[in-house]
Amino acid sequence: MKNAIKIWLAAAALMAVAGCKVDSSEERYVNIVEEAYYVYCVTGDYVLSPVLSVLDRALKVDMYVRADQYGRYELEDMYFPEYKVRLYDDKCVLADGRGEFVFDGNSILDEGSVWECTFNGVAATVSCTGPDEWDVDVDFQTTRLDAPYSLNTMEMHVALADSCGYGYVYEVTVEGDYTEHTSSREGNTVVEVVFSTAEPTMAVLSRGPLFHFFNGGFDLHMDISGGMQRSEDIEVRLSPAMSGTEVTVNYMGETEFWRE
Amino acid sequence: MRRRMSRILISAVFLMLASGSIADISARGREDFEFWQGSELRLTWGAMPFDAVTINNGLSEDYGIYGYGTIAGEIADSRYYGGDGYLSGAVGLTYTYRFRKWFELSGVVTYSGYYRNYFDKYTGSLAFKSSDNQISVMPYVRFVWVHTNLVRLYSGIGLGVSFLTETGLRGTDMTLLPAFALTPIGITVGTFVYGIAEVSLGNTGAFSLGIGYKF
Repeated sequence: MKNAIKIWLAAAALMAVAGCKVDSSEERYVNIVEEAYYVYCVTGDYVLSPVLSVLDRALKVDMYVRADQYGRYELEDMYFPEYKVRLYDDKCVLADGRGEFVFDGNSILDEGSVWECTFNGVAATVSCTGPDEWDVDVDFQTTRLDAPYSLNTMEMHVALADSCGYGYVYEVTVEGDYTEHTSSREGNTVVEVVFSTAEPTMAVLSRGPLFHFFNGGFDLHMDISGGMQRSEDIEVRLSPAMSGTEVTVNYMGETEFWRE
Repeated sequence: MRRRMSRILISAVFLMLASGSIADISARGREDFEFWQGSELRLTWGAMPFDAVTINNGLSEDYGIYGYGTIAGEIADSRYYGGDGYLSGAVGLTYTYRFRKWFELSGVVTYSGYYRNYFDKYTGSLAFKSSDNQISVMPYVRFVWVHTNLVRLYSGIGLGVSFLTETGLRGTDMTLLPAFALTPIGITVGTFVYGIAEVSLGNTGAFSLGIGYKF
């Protein structure tokens, strides 16, 4: 009997040691800087890209307005394949309601010209301030970014730096702030992000309506209230390469790199 | 790793069966051992029980930390990371009454659990403990189709209920679930104290080992 008990205990111990470990620790996946990179991505994709798209579309509409009939066919195929373009005396409408560009009688390339533009929920005044340079002033009352983001302030100055196979390459100087209202595991949370370019930063239309940023950088500050309290600075620096841009993110004393 | 597990399992089977044989030395002295009505107690451990705890935690593996498409989601919902996660397997206690040489009726209680600690990714300190616990209770009938003094081969089936509790960051949830065990083949070796090995589908585990005592 004693032998049996000993053998049973030995077997039980053996089974316990043999282990039923089914999940390994996720510690090796923890990367705190990743959340800062995420803030940068949200800022680029949900805040800067929609506003920059207004100028980009305005420039393409301007080309369309100035082109002859055959040129317009070509431009429609190239830049507006998904829209029906309707041209009136004082405005151009992208006919599914996603865009309206009201002219002041001048080309957007003419210094001093002012266009009232609406595109994909962003309403902005685009003013030509110099040769190939524009200010984009957002109407915050009517602008609707994709939920859960709302734009509070923004000053954007853009210069046309180059054009390439991807389209125009812009040099962007911007500052402003936006808010994210959402709920999470820890309750309703409000995230305020203040952003500014650390230096004039290049942008080129990349995936769909999104812009890819390179050769510059952003300084971000994030304040979280509600479910949890956080206040953190984020420093993003972008290498000069348009393709394979190295994104260096400095956050909470740690630095990580991503390649885009 | 698989080879190591196989060796451990094979060793465990031999240990179980040997435990019955060694304890059975006294029984060998009883030359004209016959069937008699009576009771048995069994203690078993089953690997891979077919229960909610194992299905929820044993068949999927987490890779990395997930956000929910927002900044708050990325930061708040991925604030904690899991440590190693363990399944207990099915620990079973069975009371059996032998009505006939070929027919036994049992009451089976099994426990199956999963345990994992979660840590705060900013500090590395323990944030909370997560555990799933499932206790199953079921009547179980056993049909013995080979019965000798030393060895019994049998099949069995049981049906009952189980209580599942899931405890995590947001408290504890309780669920009532069905429980079952279908054993196409099981073997006991030994007479009064015996070793057990079973192949089953259900809450008792796909492959069970244990020890029993007949009285």
